[in-house]
Amino acid sequence: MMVLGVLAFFLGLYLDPTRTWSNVLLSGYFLTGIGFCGIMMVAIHYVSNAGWDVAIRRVPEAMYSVLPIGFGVMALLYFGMHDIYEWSHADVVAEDPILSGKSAWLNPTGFMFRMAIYFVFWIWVGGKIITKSQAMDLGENPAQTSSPTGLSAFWLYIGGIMFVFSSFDWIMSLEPHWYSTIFGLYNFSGMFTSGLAFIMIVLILLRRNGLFKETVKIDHLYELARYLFGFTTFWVYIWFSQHMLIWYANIPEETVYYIKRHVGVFGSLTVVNILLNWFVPFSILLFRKTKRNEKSLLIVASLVLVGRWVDLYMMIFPSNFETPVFGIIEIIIFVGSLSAMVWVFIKAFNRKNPIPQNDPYLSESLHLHT
Amino acid sequence: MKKYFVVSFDNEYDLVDATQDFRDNGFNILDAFTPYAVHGLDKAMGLKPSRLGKICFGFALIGLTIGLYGQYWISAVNWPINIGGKPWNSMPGFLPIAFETTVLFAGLGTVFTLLWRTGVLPGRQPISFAPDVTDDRFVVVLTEELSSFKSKKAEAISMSHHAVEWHEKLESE
Repeated sequence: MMVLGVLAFFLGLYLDPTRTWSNVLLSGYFLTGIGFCGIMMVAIHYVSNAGWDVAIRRVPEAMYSVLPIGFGVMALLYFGMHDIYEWSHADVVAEDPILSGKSAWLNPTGFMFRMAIYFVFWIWVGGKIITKSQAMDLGENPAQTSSPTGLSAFWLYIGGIMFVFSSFDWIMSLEPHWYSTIFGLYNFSGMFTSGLAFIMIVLILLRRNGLFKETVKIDHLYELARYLFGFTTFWVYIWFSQHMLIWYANIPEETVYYIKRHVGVFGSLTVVNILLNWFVPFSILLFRKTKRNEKSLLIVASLVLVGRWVDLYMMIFPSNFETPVFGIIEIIIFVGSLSAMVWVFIKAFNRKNPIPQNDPYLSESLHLHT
Repeated sequence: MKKYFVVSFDNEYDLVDATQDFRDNGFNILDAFTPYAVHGLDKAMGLKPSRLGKICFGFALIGLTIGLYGQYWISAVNWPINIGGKPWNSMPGFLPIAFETTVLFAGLGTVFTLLWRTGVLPGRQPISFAPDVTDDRFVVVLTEELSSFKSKKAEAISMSHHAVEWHEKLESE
């Protein structure tokens, strides 16, 4: 599949570069979000001194290894910048007062430079958290338990700000005349739901596989389901916040973003987006029984992952296309990058014990009751 | 006359296991008292899942309806005002307030239902079986008719779960 993805990438470049690069951006950002969410889950639970997550911690830790792939895919944009970003053309910027005003931030050199800084920070400092966290496997040392905490707080703070700026840089600047200050938070909520969905799918498959049968109880999935329930609602809350303020103020340079997305086929896709990312997960996860049922969780988590794709599609594609495009290029590039992600994830996961050893919180996590 | 059997433990895990054991042996569990909420205890005591969630949902629906219909009636039916050329029935603008009334009704409704159903109201005399539960003890109280209570068995179970202390109490005391 990966080979096919690369082939489709080159074929697409030949046929329709704008469309191909939009897909590369979508896949790269999707993978980055999954990797980011992995470290974020580890870091949040260290900072909040949580015990329940220890038994499942190796899954988000392995998700960290997806980040370098995200970096690789995003770095490809160096070659495709001119096909999707209007501000990357020096002649266009020179004639446009708004874009020249923004050129101190939005220029090709700065774009690549900032991208490198974001990824180096996420990967380097995140890697240190993971290494410290996994060092506990080697021997019993209670002091080790709290050692990633400070670093986690630092990573969450700086890395979170960087995530906001990365979404401004990579996605919002597709329409450089338009801006929304809540955009970073909007992307954060989508990233979090997709990461949670990924963790849940992995856990459910590993439970069926037998590896986690003894250690990961339905209670762990229940905790994650409550996260997912909360954050899908958070997603629609932020989506609506952005939408309502623009609708209310009714300023032409802001409404142009939503007019593109509310008319024609893109308009119906917006409805699909809200259904997939909020309405369906919310309605299903509202009940205790469905939050404690593997089958319904698997369905919801898969829908949320598809929803994340639609969400990103709705952010990226209307910028450069009048009507939606969907076909073999979209499918193969996305499936190709997904399979690369799964491959790296499985390799990283297999390298370590599936259950953290010697963690003082391990017994608390194994006895989780909800 | 009723008799109470009060058993204290010094950690939550023993308490949960012992409670399960008491119930399996047919004892009638009056209540358990702990310094903080203990997960899994409700299952061990055989309590039914709380119905408070449904109450909360009901109140939320009432709040949502009142919030939406109230604003619709005020700004589209009773006294239409033109705000920025928007239609009188501007649903997106109503949603934040409808959201707030939903949360308000759900929150207050749930709290007051809880207080009413559990009888935790001002002026209520607290029943204290073991004052230590406000400190570091985990207590489970069994109850039965005096004549039919199997003290020996209860003591054996308490002992096997490392109970710190147990005593018996009559209803009249």
